[in-house]
Amino acid sequence: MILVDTSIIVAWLDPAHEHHQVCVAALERAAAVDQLAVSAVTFAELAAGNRTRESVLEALEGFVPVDLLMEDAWRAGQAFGRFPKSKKDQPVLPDYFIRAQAAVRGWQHLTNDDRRLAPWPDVDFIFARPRRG
Amino acid sequence: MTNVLVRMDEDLVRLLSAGVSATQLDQSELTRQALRAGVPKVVQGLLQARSGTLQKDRQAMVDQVRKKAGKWRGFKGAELLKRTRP
Repeated sequence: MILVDTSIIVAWLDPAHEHHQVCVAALERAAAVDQLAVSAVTFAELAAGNRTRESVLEALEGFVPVDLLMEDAWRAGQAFGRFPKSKKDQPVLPDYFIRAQAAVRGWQHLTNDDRRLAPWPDVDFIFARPRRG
Repeated sequence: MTNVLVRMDEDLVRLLSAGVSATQLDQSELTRQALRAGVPKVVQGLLQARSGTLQKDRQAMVDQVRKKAGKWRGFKGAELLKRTRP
């Protein structure tokens, strides 16, 4: 199972997104090798994007939905607590939930967001683009 | 044993003709029974069927990813992400 991050989903659906093509290609490659899953947290993020519930559900048809469990929430909170905060980078807790879901289940995680990786040494990331040096 | 095999074969055909996914096949009572009983012929059939359905499932998802790519015109995905995860 590959858990697909919201950063991939929005770029896949938005033709004007800067990384649209590369994320479409990454998603196609992932779909060819394994089942794709999407988090309830992604559902929440898309709900904030002024789309109808029906259109979001229709777009995510075929993805395995992954609910947020107590274990996921705990793992997310632990990682958030350990991550060093700085004036320059002040992450928010919801940012940690999807990666926690991948970590708890031992799934690969396809993402277009390569920030704040340190708290997740046990997550097998697949990056849509080459990582920034 | 022959009767069991015939029944399992029929169950397998019925499941496949219903268009079940590989996951559904994995979770089916037939798979559980065949594995429990260790019936090689049925287990082999299940594995072949699973491989076939898996390929179909994958191709269907790849097609869907292609079909829906760029579907949300006017959706400002990058701006949304800046709000949900600053």
